[in-house]
This record gives sequence, C-alpha cells and structure tokens, in this order.
Amino acid sequence: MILKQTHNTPIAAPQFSNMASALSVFRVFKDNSVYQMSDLLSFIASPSHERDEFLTLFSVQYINVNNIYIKQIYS
Amino acid sequence: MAIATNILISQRSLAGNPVIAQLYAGANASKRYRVYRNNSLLYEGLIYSLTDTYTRVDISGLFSDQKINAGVTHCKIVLVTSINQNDVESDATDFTVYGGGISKLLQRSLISTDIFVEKLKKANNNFFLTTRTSDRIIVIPEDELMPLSFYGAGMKLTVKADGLLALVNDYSTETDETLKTWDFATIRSSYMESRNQFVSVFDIFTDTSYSCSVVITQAERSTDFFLKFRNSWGAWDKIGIRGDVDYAPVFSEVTKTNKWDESVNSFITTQKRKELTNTLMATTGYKNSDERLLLLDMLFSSEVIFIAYGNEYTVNVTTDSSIFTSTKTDPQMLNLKLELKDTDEFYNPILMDKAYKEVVTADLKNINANGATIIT
Repeated sequence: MILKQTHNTPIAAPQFSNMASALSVFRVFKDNSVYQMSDLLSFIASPSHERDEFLTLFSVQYINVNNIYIKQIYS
Repeated sequence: MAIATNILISQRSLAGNPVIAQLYAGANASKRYRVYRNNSLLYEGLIYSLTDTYTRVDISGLFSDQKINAGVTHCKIVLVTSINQNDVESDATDFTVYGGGISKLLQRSLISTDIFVEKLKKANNNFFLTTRTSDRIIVIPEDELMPLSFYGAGMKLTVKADGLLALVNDYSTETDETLKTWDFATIRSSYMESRNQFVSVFDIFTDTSYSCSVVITQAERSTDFFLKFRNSWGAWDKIGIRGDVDYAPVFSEVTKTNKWDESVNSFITTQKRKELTNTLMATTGYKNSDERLLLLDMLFSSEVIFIAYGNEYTVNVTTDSSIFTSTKTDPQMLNLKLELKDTDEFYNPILMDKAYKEVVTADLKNINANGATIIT
C-alpha cells in the first residue's frame, strides 16, 4: 500500500532495516538463488510494479517525521 | 582623493552576474589593467578617468564560458604602468569566479550581502548547487537522483542516516576553493554494505550544527524518459517525464534542382533528400509547484539531454509560456516540445527496435544450419 500524500508531505523511498534477510526473500521472489546484494540494491532502488509486489512480502512501518516527510521502513 | 587601494573587486563572484572591478587611475588619467586566469593572461584593458574617482569595469564577459558550468577559477587583476619602456605590474588583487549565476531579482534582494554568505558558503544551510529548492529539506525522487555538488573548502561535513554515520569529509584545512560532489546513490550503497540497512534519508552536519537533509522519495510512477540539464548553478540535474512521449517528426521544405537528362535532351526536375527534425511531444506528468519551477530552470538551460531507455540525445526544449502564469498550487501536467539537435536525411529502425529485439533474442532457442528448431 502506498500512503497518499497529504498536504504535499513527501514519502521517502522504501527503506529496509535488514538487507541480509531481504536478500533471502528476494532470491525466493525471483526464484533465483544466485542473486547477490548488488542485484537487490539495483532492484529496490528503482521504481517498478515488480518492486511494489516484492514490498507486499514485508511488514511496513510508517513514521511521520515532524510533518516534513514520511519514512516507510520494511522489515 | 585619498584612497586606500587602487583596485576594489569582490573576492568571490558568479560568472553569470556582473563582476565589477573598480580601478583608480587619478583625475584626467588613463591606466592599463590586466586580468589573469589561473596565472595565464586573459585580458588587457585600458581605463580613462576624467574625475578623481574609481572607474567601474564589468569584466564578467571574460568568463562567459563559465556561466553554464559549475566550478571555480582563480584569478588576479593588476594595474600596469610603463616605466622606462618596461611594463610594471602593481596592486595585484586576487579574486575567484564561480560558475553559474542568480536572477536579477535575487541580486537586488542581496544588496547588503551576497549569495556566498547567504547560501553557497553558509554551513548551516542548504549549500548544495541545486535549484530544486532552497529549503533545508531537499526532496529528490529516487529515479531523478544525481550527484549533488557544493563548494566545500573550509568545511568539515558529516553525513548521517538514522543517527548513524554514513560519511565524513574534512575540507576545513583547504583554502583554495574547488568543486566537490557527493553521489548519494553511492553513499546509500556504502551505508548498506557497512550497516546492513537500506536508507532513504540523509542528514548533513557541519562540525558545529545541522545543515540540511536529503530525502530520496518514492517515484509516483516509473518512467524510461528523463531530461538531464545544467541548472543555473552549472551543475547537472534530472527531471522525470512521467506522461506520454510521442514522436512527431517535422520535414524540411523540399529542395528541387534541375538536372540534364540526355535521354530526352532536356532538363528534368529532381528533389534532394529531405531533412528531418526529430521532434518529440512530451507530457511531464503531474508536477507540484517546486517541480514546475525546476522545469523553468530546465527551460533556461543551454544544455539539455533527453534520456530514453538509457540512451542520451541532446535536445532543444520549448513549451507554451502560458503554463507558468497559473497561480494554482495543485499539481499540473505540462506539455513540452523536444527537438533533437541532429537533423537527419536517413532513417533506420535500429534504435526504434532495439529494446524489442533484445527481449526476443533472449527467448529464442538455438537455430542450426539444418533448419530451425522449434521455438518454445
């Protein structure tokens, strides 16, 4: 789910609190155990429908930072 | 008139704005002056003064090549006197010229200060060479992220994410100004390798206080089309085109020539190959007010590059100026006309088909000399 912007508060790009564990999920998601951290980095740093599907596999925490921006942290 | 110095010039100036040198020759007197750039003679000029006052000279024309490029040039201006048929230089005064420029409106509002004190060298502020915003929170969509430049001499800077150290750069002992660049995509990657976390917000601090933050935001819609351009500071920036991009080429007028045809013993009319201007009509997608002003800076730029599927094409960009008369704050879509700088006389589908062919090739099985195998 993507939070709609309210009063033009920007939403920071997805953050991950544990990349090692995200890599395991990524390899299963892509059905390819050869993928490395650089592949995961390239994938999550670029917007795509596939990334949106990948993000649904994680729990997400939204943090409003002083109404300046909203962090979304996936774990 | 009693004067303290024969040359008055700002220590720091922008190449796109007036670089005023005030030179004193005396009443009813002339004086030669020389301008050096990086210790090479750039220009020699002459002033003549009727009165016992300074003569103002705008030497910004000597730095027109620096108007569009970020960076620093170290210069010197001297007065020249002929003594016994020898040129003797005196009153040597160093000054620095920085790339880019600011608007006349901003110049007027900075009449008692300057842009270096207010922004470019103000450590507890947004000192980056970006025209996205002057706020201390710099919001950049994730697919528009470009390296951010700044003038860092004399600063000690720390970058943190979630309170943890990401980068330290100590330029505090540097006295000669140079252009620095931080690539936040690389900083993000290094932070991930060292801390096992992927972050999108970076806070920048000087050794005494908080400066600003870079917030990498989620792009609302992915795109393969971007406009990369040199902003008013002379640094590169990028805008995503998230609407439609349509190819709408424009042919030149037909050029006809007469040619002698021996078979009919008469002149015939032939036409040369026409020239084609590759024109694209693009819709930007919804842009908020900050983004529309960034588009304005892009339209000012003399260097704009259209990026399509990773390929770069130099373009001229125009739009209907009435789109900027709106005072609405709601996001709006803007129409742009992109003209590729190359005109063509020949067509080849290679570029158009490239993306498609790469996909098809990956799916084909082996085809041997005895006939094609069945493609599954």
